[in-house]
Amino acid sequence: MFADAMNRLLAKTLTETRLVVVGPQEGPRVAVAFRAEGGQPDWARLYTRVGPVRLFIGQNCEAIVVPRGRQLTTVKYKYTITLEESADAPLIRWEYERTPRKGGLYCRHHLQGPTALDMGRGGPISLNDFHLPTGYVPIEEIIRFCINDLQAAPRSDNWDELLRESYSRFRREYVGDVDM
Amino acid sequence: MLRYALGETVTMSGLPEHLLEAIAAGNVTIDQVRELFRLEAAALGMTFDEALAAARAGLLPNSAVGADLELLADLIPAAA
Repeated sequence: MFADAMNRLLAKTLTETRLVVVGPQEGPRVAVAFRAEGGQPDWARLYTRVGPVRLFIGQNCEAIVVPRGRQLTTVKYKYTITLEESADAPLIRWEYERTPRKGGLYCRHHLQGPTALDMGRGGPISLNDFHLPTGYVPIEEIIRFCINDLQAAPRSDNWDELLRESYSRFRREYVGDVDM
Repeated sequence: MLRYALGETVTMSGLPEHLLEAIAAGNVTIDQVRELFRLEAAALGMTFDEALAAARAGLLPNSAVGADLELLADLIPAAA
């Protein structure tokens, strides 16, 4: 299972906080997100160069039938990093929506946050007012960002190798080239 | 105290045993997804319908509970 593999990866690289799958038997779609032992939605708490932060990872995935069997596609993801000490909005949000709300024409893969961007004559504009385009952001890259850039302590010395292997396996076994 | 307008601090109690067992076994029904949604909505001080409308309008807080509700909302049929 995708979540089992991802939990093994998270435990070896960044956090013991676990992703849990919730999905009705009646449908092909599931929600995968961090949950505490009591089942409540949860964050991973990380100690970083900018202080303690809360990492949220959540995805909606859907199984589709393809000629070689069933394949997992990502319908939506949301990854956020929030300062522990702050009651403000997340510092960074990476989001993807296969079908943007209300027919929105913004970039489906995007980055947002409360950072002010200097937009010349227009003056500073919050990154939250844009949907800054990104490519597909896999969970492995969020882990990499937390370790390499935020300097969260890795849980093993070979974390880079583990992340590379995991993403290769994910592409090969779960996703293929569909809807990235 | 609930503070969910921005990055909130919500204390949510553990889920009922039958829900935990269903999730662990991968045997969740759509009614149990609705029950889970209702419990998480209540943690934000919202009703089921309020939280569903907020989720579909992109107006939930970017907290763990709010973000999870946004994901769960996609599992609930539009007619619900």
